[in-house]
Amino acid sequence: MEGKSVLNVDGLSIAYELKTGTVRAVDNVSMSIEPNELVAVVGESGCGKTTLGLSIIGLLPSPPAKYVSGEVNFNGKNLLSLAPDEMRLYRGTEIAMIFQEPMTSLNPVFKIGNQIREAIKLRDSRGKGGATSGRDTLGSSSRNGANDKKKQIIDVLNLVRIPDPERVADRYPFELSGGMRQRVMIGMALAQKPSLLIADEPTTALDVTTQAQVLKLMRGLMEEVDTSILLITHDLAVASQVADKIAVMYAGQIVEEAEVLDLFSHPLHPYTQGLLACIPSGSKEGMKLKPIQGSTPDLRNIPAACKFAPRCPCVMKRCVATKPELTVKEGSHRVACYLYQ
Amino acid sequence: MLATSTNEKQTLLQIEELAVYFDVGGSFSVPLLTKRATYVRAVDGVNIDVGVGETVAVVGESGCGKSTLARAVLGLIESKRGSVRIRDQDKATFKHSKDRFKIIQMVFQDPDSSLDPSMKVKDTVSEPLVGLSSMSKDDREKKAAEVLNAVGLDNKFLDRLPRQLSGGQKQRVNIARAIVTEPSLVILDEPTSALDASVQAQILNLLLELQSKFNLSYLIITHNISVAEYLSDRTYVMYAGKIVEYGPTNAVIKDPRHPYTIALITSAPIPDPKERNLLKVEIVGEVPSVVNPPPGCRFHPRCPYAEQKCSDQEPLLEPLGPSRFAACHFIEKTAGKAEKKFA
Repeated sequence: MEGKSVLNVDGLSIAYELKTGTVRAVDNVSMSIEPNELVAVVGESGCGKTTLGLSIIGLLPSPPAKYVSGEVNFNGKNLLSLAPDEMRLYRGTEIAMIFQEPMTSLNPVFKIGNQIREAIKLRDSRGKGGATSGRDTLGSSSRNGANDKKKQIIDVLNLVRIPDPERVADRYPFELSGGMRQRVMIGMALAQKPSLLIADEPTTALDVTTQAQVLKLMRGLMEEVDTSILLITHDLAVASQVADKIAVMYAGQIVEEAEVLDLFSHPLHPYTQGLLACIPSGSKEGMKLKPIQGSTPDLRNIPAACKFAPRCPCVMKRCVATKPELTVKEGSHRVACYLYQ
Repeated sequence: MLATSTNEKQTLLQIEELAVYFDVGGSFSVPLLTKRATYVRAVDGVNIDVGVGETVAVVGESGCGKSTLARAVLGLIESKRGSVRIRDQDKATFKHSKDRFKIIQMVFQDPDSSLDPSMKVKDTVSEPLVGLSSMSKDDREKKAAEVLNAVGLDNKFLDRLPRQLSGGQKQRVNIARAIVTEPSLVILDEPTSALDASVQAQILNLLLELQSKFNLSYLIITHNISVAEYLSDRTYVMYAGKIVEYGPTNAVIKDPRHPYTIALITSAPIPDPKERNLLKVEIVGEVPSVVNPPPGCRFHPRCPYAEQKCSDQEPLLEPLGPSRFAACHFIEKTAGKAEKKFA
């Protein structure tokens, strides 16, 4: 089972070395993603979820970021041991990433079609089959030239269900709506037929009706294109709708990880329970929200033992003395809390 | 709480046929040739009323005009037509704008940019009193401390600067500044959308607490259905500058009838993996441009029930039930379409 994982992060720690001190943004994180699985990393701002995503694809600015320990095994290869040139062969082709703000991810001065062409060119230069029918025509593509390229661009736009793809290919990013831009980004990412797509808050900047469409598209394409998705989000509700497995992060650590149904029917960690109790549902007459006390911690100044202890309603003596590790509670449900150890 | 007694309640704010257009004109180079004015019809004939002690939510997606509406009510932007009546007095007849601000205050969306980075918390919170009251400096600071306590910030925050505050604390300061003049109505523009989930819940509870303590009315502008559901008595759904449906919040959310309301509510992710409503949504397309809105019903290009009539003729708000209205030509087709999700 383990050997088949697309991604296997093992004991990864990442620190930012800043003038004001060292920030442990990712702290001993271990997780895995199986083929065709959508794993959501959920946490509030500053919990290290984006750093985790960027570290997997090798996009962390270093300095200030520093890999302290751990491994990122992608299809059995430790990405952290690769030279930058070798890593480049993985980035964008084997592992793709899309970001929160699709406007800033697209180049404003090139037409959509040109930007997609670049992605296709990269794919072909690395001898990879495409996510679309481009794969079948790969052998003849060099001879058929422009027409064939154009068809491949249209194929990419069709893949992400963009209406009127010929016209959209001829547009600039500013002429498209937010939802369209994010579709283009997803199309470009999946054109490479990556084994893993990292999506960092892909729908946070979008309206709810657009968000629903984009999430539905991503979930559908995962099977169609045969890839795995690491979804980074602050929204437990979004994760509950699309994820197979959820890892809840708090202050750099995964505090709980479980299959989605399991996590929502039996949330174990007090932080997860707190997050669930924070989501307004029903009216004020129904029941009052039970907010988590305090606010998300400043990572420069963090408790050495359990990081959630200062906000935890069930805090015990042990919690402020030593750090609870992520351990298996039942089946694949893991939790880092002394209540269960 | 006032949802059932609509007839008897005292109206605090009455918005009638309010329209706000932004002139986006022709190009600079040929202004004389393109004399035809082009407008963004951000708010286009909206009627809303808010009763004393009532919470009214305006729900919609970005670009629907909900924030513009809020600003127009306060008089921060000019309206093209329509009227805003505050306690039965037309907004335009107030002698000074500060007389309006004594009654209506606003909390803005971004807690960060709505605070002056160089002003101490106590100065920020007491500043509205400078113009709106005749208090001495000491009294103003005392009042600021009092209100800050009411929003859950103790005296050690008085001398802090915004950069020393967390997002949730900043929003508490914003709320304190809004209620320091003891207004009757507070307009809340996306009060929690910039906050983390755990902090959002704190602020929502605080708003409820303050409402009963100071007998406030709220007009909440939000894109988040669950925030509207949690806080409000009545909900108005806005689409492309128009109100498409309104009524008691429970009724609107549990049994939405306008096709757009249905789409909006079924698209909102619910935290329950057993009910994957999100993967079943059928809505297509995106919010239209309000420069050139679709003719007839503005939702018709995205509507699964649309027929020819919808592009020919604009539907008006028609009564649906007790104090419930929706603007749709084929409202009978949507009965029970969204029941499953909340059953």
